[in-house]
Amino acid sequence: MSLYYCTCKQYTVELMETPPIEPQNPVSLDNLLGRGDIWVGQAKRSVAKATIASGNNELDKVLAGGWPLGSLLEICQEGSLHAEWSLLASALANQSGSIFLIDPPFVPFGATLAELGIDLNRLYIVRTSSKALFVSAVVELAKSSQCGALLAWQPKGILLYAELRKILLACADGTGIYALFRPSGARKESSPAGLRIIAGIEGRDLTLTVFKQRGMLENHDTVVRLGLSEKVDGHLPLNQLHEIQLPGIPQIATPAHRLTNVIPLRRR
Amino acid sequence: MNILERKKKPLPKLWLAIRFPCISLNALGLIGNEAEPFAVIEKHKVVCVNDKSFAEGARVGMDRTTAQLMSACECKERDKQREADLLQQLCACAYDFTPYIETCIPNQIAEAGLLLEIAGSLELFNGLESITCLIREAFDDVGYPYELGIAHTSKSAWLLSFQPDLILETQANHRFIEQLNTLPVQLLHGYPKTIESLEKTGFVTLGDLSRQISVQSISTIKKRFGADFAKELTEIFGIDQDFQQNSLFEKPAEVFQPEELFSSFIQLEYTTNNTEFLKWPVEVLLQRLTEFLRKRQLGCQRIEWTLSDIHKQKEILSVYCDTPQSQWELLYKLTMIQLEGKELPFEVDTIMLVCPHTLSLQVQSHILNFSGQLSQKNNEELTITLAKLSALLGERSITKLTYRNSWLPEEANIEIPYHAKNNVSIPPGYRKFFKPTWLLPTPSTIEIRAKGLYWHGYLNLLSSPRRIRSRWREQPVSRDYYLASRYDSSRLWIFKDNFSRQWYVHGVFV
Repeated sequence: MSLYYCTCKQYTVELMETPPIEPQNPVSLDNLLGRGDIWVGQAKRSVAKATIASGNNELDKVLAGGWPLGSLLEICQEGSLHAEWSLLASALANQSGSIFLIDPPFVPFGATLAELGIDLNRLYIVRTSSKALFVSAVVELAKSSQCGALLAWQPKGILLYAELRKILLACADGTGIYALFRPSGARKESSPAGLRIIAGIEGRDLTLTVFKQRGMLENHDTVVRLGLSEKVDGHLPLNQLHEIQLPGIPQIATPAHRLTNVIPLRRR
Repeated sequence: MNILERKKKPLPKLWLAIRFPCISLNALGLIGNEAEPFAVIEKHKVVCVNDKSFAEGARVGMDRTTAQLMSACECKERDKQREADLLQQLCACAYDFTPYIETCIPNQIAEAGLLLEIAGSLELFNGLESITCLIREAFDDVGYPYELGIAHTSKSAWLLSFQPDLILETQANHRFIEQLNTLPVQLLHGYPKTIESLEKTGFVTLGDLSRQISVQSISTIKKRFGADFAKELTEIFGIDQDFQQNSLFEKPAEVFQPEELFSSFIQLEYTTNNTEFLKWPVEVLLQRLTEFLRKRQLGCQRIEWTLSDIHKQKEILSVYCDTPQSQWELLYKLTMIQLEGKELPFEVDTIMLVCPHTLSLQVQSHILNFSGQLSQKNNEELTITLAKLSALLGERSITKLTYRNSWLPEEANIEIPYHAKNNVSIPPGYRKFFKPTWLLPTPSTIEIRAKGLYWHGYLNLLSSPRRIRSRWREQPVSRDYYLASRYDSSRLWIFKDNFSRQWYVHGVFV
């Protein structure tokens, strides 16, 4: 109940900031309960939010159609995993509007993104110097109708629930993909995000564990396995094994050595 | 009656060439008479040297190393874009004397110049001697070394600028041709192979060619040395080739269009550091700019505000738009976003608006938009969003990706300011290359331990090497790139530097 009270209060503040002309959507309990981001204590109810296909049927099934639009999506990545593009590239390629990357860990490699179908003319990289500026930038962009996708990486310092809630409210008014990437340790922290996922890697599979999904409690801890691209699967042609000399590792047999084990065929 | 007579008999053309022999040095901010030796380099060859460097033995055509050994000169790379920009500025200087200005930029030599058609200006400036004197005074003030040449055709004027005597007393064609005849054929820089064969057959000066043409005809030259060379000679000497009235088919002289700059200012009634009080003058100045742009069918993408106080302290604000604007509303919004996010450092007394670059609205192509003004509105919204972010985070905080033609990933894939024009066409070589999704800004060194390669964990190679070689002219680079995995199954892009034998991490796949 306390969460419900808090939500109403923040929403009222949001409305007060708009010019007090004739309110098109007067604040009423029904209107507030109609918002997709307010929990009403039901385990399951229809999720009316629009989605965009993720590019993987199994994942789309779990996500009830695909990545949610106009909602905060939180992806906690294990270790030093960077599965951002593996997960979202397909959706980003089909999403209109500009794509903003806020505080990305490295520089995106344009040639790969272009191959994945992402238009580099629509891609902007934003760097912030503090947590407060990070939150302001995310809120500003999420409110913009021209932001088709927003990919933000958690800055240094813990994001407070109130800050995440501020981001969530800004995202709720938009129609884009709003993804927040956090370390796996953030799983234990509370977050108002509508969809929370843990991404990990096991052998040749990328594993996704949905541990929070609004209106879909039965999906709790559902694991989806996505095969890694063949390109990153790796294969080493046997004829080149001997050419790679790793320091500290005994050298693999040279072709001359290997040939000594081969018995030549003779005609009878 | 006089006007009619003039229309019937057009004035014979008279060209004045202004050649800048050190333009490649001038474009780099050097005059040519510095105390230190300098040389301009293009493709590792010297294309221009200053006086000091010349005195110590450096010559045009030498390679960089020889020139440095001879004169210990500092070598600077040639910048053709800056040369072209400088030439445009010099055109504006020559515009005081005639509107008919052409630029001459030969490919074979690092020189450039202006060709002025001055026949129509002679009366206004009291004759040839007087106008030449005034032009000399104007270009002496500019300060760059130059040479003059006067003749009846533009090409002959350019050639005559290579010899010291200037004909000022007469405008008769035969005097110019006499002088042209004394020039060596080597000055025809555009035809190096033809010059070689001319020298072998005994043609030393242009006079030798001129005699050959008068004895036989231009067609013999055409047969022996090609149509292009024959055409060049007819243009130099002003020979009527095929037509009875060649002047009817003559190319009209180019009219120089000087770049127009918008600049306007308002002095406030009272000094203020309150942004609210700047709204009105900003709006008025932008409306003046709109009027200027509308009358000329122009648009602008960048404007510059200069705020100054009574002590002449200045604060400059630049406002950018993604698309050219000819209306003031969006520029006003963007300006106010910047002003509101800024604390004015002094009491503003004068506000000045400058629009340094404009572009024609007519030559732009527009995508057909059947959904009304939606696309334009979207662009405006995006511009406003970016301006707000820029005001919040600083201009350098927002970037986008562009490509440069280089084999080295860190040089090819770079970030530029969001308002700069980017190149998104991927070099063909990169399409086949296996490449990561993330690139480290600078390659990170991998530790070599007894058990193998170590970078936040031991690495295993998963692929065969792909070699990149680059910069073979300067400092050669040779790298073998591999896909590697770490204990946590991360896929990394690593390479071995084949010269230093050192391993580096350069990218991340997942």
